[in-house]
Amino acid sequence: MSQSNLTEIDYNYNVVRQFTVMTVIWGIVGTLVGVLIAAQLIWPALNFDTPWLTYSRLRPLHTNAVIFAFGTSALFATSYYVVQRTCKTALFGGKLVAFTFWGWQAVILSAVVTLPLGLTSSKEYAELEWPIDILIAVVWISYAIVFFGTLLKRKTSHIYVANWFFGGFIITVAVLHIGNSMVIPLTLTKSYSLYPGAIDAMMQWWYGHNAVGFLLTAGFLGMMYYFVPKQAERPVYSYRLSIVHFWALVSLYIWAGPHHLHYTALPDWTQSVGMVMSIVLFLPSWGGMINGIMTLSGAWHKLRHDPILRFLIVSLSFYGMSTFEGPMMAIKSVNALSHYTDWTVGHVHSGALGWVAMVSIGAMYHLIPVLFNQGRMYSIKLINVHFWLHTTGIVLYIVAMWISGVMQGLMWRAVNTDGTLTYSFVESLQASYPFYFIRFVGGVLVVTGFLLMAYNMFKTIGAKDGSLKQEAIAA
Amino acid sequence: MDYGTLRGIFTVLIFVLFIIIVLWAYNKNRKSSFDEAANSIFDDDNNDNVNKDKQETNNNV
Amino acid sequence: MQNKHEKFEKHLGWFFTATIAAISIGGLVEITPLFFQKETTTPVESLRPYTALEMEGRDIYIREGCNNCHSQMIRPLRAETERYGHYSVAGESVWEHPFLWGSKRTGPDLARVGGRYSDDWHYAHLMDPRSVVPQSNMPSYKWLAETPVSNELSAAKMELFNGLTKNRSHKDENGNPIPLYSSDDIANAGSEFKTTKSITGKESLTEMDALIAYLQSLGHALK
Repeated sequence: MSQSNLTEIDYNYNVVRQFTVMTVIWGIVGTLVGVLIAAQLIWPALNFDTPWLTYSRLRPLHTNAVIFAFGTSALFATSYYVVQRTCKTALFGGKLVAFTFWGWQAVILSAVVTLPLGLTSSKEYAELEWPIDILIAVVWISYAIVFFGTLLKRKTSHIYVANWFFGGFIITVAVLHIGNSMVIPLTLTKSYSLYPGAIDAMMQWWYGHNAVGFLLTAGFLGMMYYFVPKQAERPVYSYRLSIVHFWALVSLYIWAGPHHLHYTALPDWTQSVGMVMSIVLFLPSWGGMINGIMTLSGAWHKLRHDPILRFLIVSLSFYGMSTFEGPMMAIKSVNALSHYTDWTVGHVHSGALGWVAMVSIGAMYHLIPVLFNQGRMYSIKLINVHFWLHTTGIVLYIVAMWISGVMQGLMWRAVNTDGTLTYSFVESLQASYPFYFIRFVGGVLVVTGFLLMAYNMFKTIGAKDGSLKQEAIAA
Repeated sequence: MDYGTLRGIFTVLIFVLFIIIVLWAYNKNRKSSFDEAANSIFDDDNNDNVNKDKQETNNNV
Repeated sequence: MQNKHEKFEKHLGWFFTATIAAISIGGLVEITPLFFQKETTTPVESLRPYTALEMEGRDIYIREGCNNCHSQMIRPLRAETERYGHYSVAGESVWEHPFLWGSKRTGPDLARVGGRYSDDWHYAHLMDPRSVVPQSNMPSYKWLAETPVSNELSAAKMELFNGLTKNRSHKDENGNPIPLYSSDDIANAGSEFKTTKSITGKESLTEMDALIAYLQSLGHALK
């Protein structure tokens, strides 16, 4: 490489490479299972009367694959990369580093086997049975040791803000996972939650909402705070705002869980506290979004040439959109309509496909050439195609779910003048079928995009070292 | 002291804490060290010819 | 150098402590009181524990992931109570480990489905949902009728639930807790499996029978 005198630090890129490649592979697997179950909701015969191919067993596989296999691998890759580069030191922990990779892949593989077999705790996004839960805890604590150990031996004086978000997410996910996974085992593959009924529900959504708030938000904000400035070649818009944003976000998110339980048998006071905090949460969320997007101020033209930057910036727009939609859906009167419907599913996917996946994809496209000694990805054109496939896919998906969701909510509550219900349940399902088809098409586009990404990635990896040169961008 | 009063005190406390964080972050003396931190991610570049000069983060926000 | 390094470590310590503090407060305020609230810890008077067969059925419900498409939580909204019956209260869920309230209704709520349809209807529906509801998108669960159900673990499950619900069971007139399952119940756990007739016409009970028994048990505590 060039004249640099700082690159002599022997960064551990091996583990970053491993996690990066697996991110793309798990991205394909996770979204492919998603497309299969989307098809099953239209053509139920697609389970072929086979237990392990049945929707109700595969839905948790889809959610676990995208959150813990795709999303979390992306977080491992980027946090390990960012913490080394910003601390100017190699990863701490020796063999522990490799253990976090193989341990995490073992967790994912056991999920791929056990969930279709029906071994589940039934708690959303925490379905895995207790022996796997223990393995998760062990890997996660090792992750914390590697990450914070690296921060401890850093050669820089300040801890760059991306690491605050990564650090906050690592600590909190450990607490949430251990708290929510408390069970009494019956056998090796069956256990019962320690918490009774309403309290179990509260524990579950304290966990569930903060898996979203910390894993899928704080973690990816860490990613954003490094890769957006880096790709835009400009420092973050306001470093001050990022600090206030961090503390406001971590202290507010944790309160929002009860909005998943509006109008349920959870005591009213808990629902009210959850609703207020969820609405306030809008502020720090938009603080982060504005900070990210404004980083580009004065350099907007870069968006025209750089599809990677486009992925990153559009991800922030989706982040802004879902964090506006979320607080709105947490208002009890809105929730009365939206809860239990497809609207929630659409909301989740605008966050997951729009924010989480797009910021990860952007970060991966930035990372892959760096990790494999290339100046750029094999094909910039394919990145561009991927961008449009992905974006169109999301738009089809969420618009379809908005319509079917609101329609379901309205049909379920419609009453005739004599007070009887206007529609039977199955009529609302029948009306949803066209939108289920649109959702399916959107999903196919997203998977296609991921396949292109994998092709592009392997072509980049396979190319001769340094043979792909950065193109001079027309000013 | 009942639960309501406790909650009230607690809310005030959190608010004060928030103000302290904001004042700390927006203190003029911290500006230069924050700029340094914000630019630190460009220090290690080995293939970029950009960012020779330190760029400032926004002054007002 | 040494000194400087120590300072950094301290910073990290502060970060750790402040983060833990920030994330603990919300959880503590929202969750801890629930353990002491009568509403969430006292069973409604008419609540009865599951029989051995219903308990097996519940575990099959969990295994098959029925909760992914069916809620068991009726909200106190007019259209909802009109459709599904009396709204759900926390006292009905006190012995539910885990809770099965669900979060999505791809199919209808099941909190009070017990007694709404005949066993034969459920059997036909689980074998081929479209034979009774032509527009349905529910998958068929044919294999349940092929798999025998055993009472092998029933006693262990009863003891486990006695332990889990120790402080939240019904009380006798002297205020002493009555365990969900007596020692007699546990000793004979699932002995009725041998004498009960299977809806499938098979020699012994199948998972189909267990799941239907569970579904028929749902929601009777309040009507």
